[in-house]
Amino acid sequence: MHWLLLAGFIAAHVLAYIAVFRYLRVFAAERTIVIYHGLAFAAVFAVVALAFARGTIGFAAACGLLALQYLYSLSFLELWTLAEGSYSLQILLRVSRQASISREEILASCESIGAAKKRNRLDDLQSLKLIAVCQDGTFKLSPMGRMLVDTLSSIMRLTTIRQAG
Amino acid sequence: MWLVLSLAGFALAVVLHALLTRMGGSLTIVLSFLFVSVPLAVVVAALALWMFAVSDESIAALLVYLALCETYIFLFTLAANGVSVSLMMRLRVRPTTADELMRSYSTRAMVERRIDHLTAGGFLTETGGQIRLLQRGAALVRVFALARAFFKHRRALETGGAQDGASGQRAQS
Repeated sequence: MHWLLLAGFIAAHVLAYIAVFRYLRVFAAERTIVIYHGLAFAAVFAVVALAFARGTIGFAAACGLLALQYLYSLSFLELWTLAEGSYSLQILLRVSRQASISREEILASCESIGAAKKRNRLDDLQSLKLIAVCQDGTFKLSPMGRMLVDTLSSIMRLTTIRQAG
Repeated sequence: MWLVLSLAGFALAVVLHALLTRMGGSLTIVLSFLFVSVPLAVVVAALALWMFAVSDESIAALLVYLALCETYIFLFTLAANGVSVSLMMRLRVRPTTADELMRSYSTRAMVERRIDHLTAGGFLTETGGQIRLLQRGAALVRVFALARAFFKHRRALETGGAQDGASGQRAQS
């Protein structure tokens, strides 16, 4: 029963997005779509925690329900972000407009985006408190940022990724 | 016990993927992970059904395994392609000014790397200094066009001027 309830909730969440929210201008912003899914996850978490505390569902069901909601939200958000305009997609689109194009032309047209992207990302890292500004004006990793970088470095070693970004 | 099954399955997927990436081959990093994690998902599901029959435990074992795998894919693609991660890696060495940070991370190299990845992945081809879209790349562009239509993304993907001040959107990595 609880699996059907969550499946129904997820279906309603997708349908509400398809029927209403995707047409709203505010839902074109990354922050809004993250909040939309964050709230859904928080709601599911609250209901699952309550049901677990009352003994209605067991530990396995609680973990499974949260995993299902997590899988749905993460997949949705990843696809949304990719479609919103990844760097590689922009290169593909640039090439698709002509029969052929030189590497220099692509580089020239994409470099300005790269510069803007780096500045935006630096602002994002600051607002997420992953980096901090020192007294001399330089940037440094915050403890949380260092923990994230250490984790990602370990994953890079495991997967033989030589260079980030 | 069901949780042990999920965790063991995930750990095995990570180890097998690490071995597979060290053996070389033409698979991209995501495809090589799927190559090991999908068959393991079938094994986890079969073992869960054998041990717990159709129950909360068996469903949870598979879902938790899938959630762990998806998180892992998200993290290593973030590490491989994330502009933010690249900036943070540079700050790991020593504190740096914003200007120095921008200079150390060449935008040109960033674009070059992506062109090389797209070429290696069979989406683009480069002959005689000219780059052309391959069938696979054209198919990907069509899929993205459909996805953009589904999500009603409004920002035009125009290279060389992609910022849309009105909507506050910015290019994604």
